[in-house]
Amino acid sequence: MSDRTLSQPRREQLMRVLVIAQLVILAIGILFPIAWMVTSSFKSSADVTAYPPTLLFRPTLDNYTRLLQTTPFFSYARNSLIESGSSTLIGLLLGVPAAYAASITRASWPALVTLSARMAPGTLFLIPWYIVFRDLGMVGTYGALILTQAAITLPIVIWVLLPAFDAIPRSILEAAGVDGCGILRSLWRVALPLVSSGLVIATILAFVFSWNYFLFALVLSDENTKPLVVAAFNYIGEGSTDWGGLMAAATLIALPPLVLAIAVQRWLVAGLTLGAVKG
Amino acid sequence: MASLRMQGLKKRFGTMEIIPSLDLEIADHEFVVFVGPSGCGKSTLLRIIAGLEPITEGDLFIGDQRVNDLTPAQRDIAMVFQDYALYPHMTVYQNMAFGLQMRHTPQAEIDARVQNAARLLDIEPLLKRRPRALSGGQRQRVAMGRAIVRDPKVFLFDEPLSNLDAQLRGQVRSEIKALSQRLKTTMIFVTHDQVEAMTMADRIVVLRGGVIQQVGAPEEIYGRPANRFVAGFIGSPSMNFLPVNLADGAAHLPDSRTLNIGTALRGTAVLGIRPEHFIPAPEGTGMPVDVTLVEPLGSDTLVHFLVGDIKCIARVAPDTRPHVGERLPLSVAPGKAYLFDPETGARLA
Amino acid sequence: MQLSASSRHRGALALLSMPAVLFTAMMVVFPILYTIWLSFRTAPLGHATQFVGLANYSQLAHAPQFWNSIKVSLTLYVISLALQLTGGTYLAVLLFQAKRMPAILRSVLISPFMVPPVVVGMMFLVILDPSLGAANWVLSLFGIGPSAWLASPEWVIPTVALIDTWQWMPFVALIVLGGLQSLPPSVYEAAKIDGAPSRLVFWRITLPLLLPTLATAAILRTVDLLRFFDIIYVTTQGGPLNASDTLNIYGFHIGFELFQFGYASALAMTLTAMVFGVVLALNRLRKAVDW
Ligand SMILES: Nc1ncnc2c1ncn2[C@@H]1O[C@H](COP(=O)(O)OP(=O)(O)OP(=O)(O)O)[C@@H](O)[C@H]1O
Ligand SMILES: [Mg+2]
Repeated sequence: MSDRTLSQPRREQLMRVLVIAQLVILAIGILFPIAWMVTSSFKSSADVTAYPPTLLFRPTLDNYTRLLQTTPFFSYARNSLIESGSSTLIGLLLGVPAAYAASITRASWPALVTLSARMAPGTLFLIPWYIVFRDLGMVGTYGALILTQAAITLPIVIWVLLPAFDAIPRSILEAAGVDGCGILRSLWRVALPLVSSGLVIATILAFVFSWNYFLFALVLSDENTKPLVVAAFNYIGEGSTDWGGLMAAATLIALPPLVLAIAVQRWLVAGLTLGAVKG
Repeated sequence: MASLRMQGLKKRFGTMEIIPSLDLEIADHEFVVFVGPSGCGKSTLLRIIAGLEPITEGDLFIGDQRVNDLTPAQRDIAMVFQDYALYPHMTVYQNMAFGLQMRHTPQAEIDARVQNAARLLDIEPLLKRRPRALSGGQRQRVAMGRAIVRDPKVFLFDEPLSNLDAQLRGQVRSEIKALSQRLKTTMIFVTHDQVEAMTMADRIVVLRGGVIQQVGAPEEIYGRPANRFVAGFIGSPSMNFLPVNLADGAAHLPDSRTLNIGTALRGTAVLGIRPEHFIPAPEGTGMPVDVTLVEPLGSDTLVHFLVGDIKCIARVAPDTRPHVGERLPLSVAPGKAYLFDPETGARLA
Repeated sequence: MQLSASSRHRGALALLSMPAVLFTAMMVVFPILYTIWLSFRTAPLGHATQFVGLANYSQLAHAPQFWNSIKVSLTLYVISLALQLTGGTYLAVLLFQAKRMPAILRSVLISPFMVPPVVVGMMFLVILDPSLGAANWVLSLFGIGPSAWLASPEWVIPTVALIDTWQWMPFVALIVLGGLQSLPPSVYEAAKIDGAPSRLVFWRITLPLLLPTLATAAILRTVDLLRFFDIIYVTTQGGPLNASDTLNIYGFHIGFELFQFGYASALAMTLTAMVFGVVLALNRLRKAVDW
């Protein structure tokens, strides 16, 4: 009996150590590919293809300088920025008022649209878009790319903000109405400040997913409007032996979404899992 | 069915001492109520008994067995939670059967016990429903049913009535009381509602800051409070407290009025008088007070007045209807004046 | 007065959603209708389209490559979903037991699904290289022989499933963790008092209560997994020997490499119907296990 008293807290301690050990192992496993990509990007061409892999190596910026010198990396980056930034802006401009109106009227169409945009494969949209943009001579223009990417960002904005607006007690909005706010003013002065963290999340997620989205730009961009993800894909085809350069490009492309996501990590998790959890 | 004993029981959360050192014995079949203000450690004490919180120091016995190191399951207790804690994915029947299944009770017996408890609590028609489809009062009954089917040594209740509306609370209160007399099991009931404590308990344990202030039958707690805290906590409206100087069998009030209470004590003290122990005195006798507020309750009337700058309340017969500003002579019912030590708060007389 | 005010109110609200409605009509509803229409026609490049009835659909039904794609897509779906739900639940339970979530750990968990799929493809091309990749080297440390990974027709689908699990298992774990945290703690205490040992508590209490959350996670993953495209397009383009030719890869091939828009439309409609069907079924399931 008495040695059970002793072992009880010790067993709990042991359990805790086991839990943390498993988490550490999993975290290393999750981090490994990203870490491998980043370290490879700093390896010389001899180190990067060495087998067994070199773990200790003299870091070099060669891959980055070569990448920036031999490819128009910055103009692709500018394309990505223009397309993701503009489509995010459109997504917000259209999505915020729509989500607000839908939350108040309990309209279900935005949720339906979000759903169907999520369920249909990209090719389903791409075929008609391609035909129409081709007939309008818009293939390869920023306009076509921004419009199609906005079809990604709008559902994200609605998906994140609809539950956020729904969570505002109706009485607060009614109070704003009694205080003399019109619809627009109660959106601007009362509702938006209350969902400010949702707004940040919606913006960042919209930007990140638009930045990452590949299929539409693969078909609809040309050399002058190509975003980074498409340029990187072409780079694989051209120089698949240049692993260092490939990993440098991969690292640079992944950097903006990672930085943005980690900056708001705490809210991001809440925003992503919103509505997914009962209660 | 078992007695319960706590010896030198201590509980700390980190460095915060919640229960300094507690000794208490509860007899078999006894219905004991823990009362005390919010945060005094009632729930903690109950959860320690249940085995949900480890004991920092000291011993806990159920029957003759030291149970410090036993899991809640091994202690053979049942608990009714404040939020009922019904398993939301199980039907009422399954909720009640679960604890028995965990103890490998034969299915036939489980069925018999559940049906029996359901009949006792009048929830037979609900057996197939999920908790979500029950009203608050029905959930409360199911939570009780889950405890009853287990036929445990000790029943623990943590404020099980606080989520019910006033009318239902009164009804369930009497039902639990009746149940306790029928089941003849040791029951420990936590509440901060003194009416619940007074009406249900065989014995009341008054707690404050993790320390037992008094243990006794309801009449005793009410009639002979151990100290000023207990006296003020039990009774509604609360006892009136006045700092007095005792001399010649009378209490001299701060504003130099006197109240004849017939005591042999001398010196400074705190005089405690329950509102219901003030009685209107014939004109010219007693202590005249200036009425500041009158609250007729129907069954009786509350009269508010000031002694110095201390607010006092008297509970008088409903036909006494003084007006605000009127001067009313009051005296104290014989033998109903309590005296407390001004420093320690202990009762002197 | 009251009426006109509230109708003005409603008008203003309608006005607020008008831009989004128009955009949606143009960019979402119109393409869907157009694709349906197109799926009954041929649309050869440079010629007017012609009505062909169900010809595209019957062509699909008779194309072995289509059936291969169905098999590939479903295999990938089942393996990935199973890995992600079990792995995600396991990770979530660990996170729940650890009680605290340091910012660094949360950053690690969200990183994989923030990385662009194209980049994920690139990095695994390097890591999984059959001769020089780090993966085979790590295996060799445990005395396991090398695998061809993405270059092997047998292993390509399990490998892609592993890659997708790497990317999305943490996401599933975060959802499940949210579910765990929203369960009332007193229910666990009640189970303790009822005498359930901790393993039974998991199977009899925790898991059943988590089922709706798991169903939600399954739905979210289903829509992505059945339409699997990016990582495969970047790494194998459907190869080797069509072993990773998912429906969406096949559809892209028909549509934008062969430019058979009518046929590709029929395929896109079929895929959409499939996703829709599975999601509906899962949604039923979610309602059925809801408490
Ligand atoms: N897990 C814990 N960690 C730290 N402090 C705690 C913990 N649980 C309770 N306490 C503290 O212990 C004290 C007693 O808490 P307890 O819940 O027992 O009070 P109570 O008498 O039941 O109050 P109430 O009537 O409000 O339910 C409080 O001060 C509380 O803040
Ligand atoms: Mg409590």
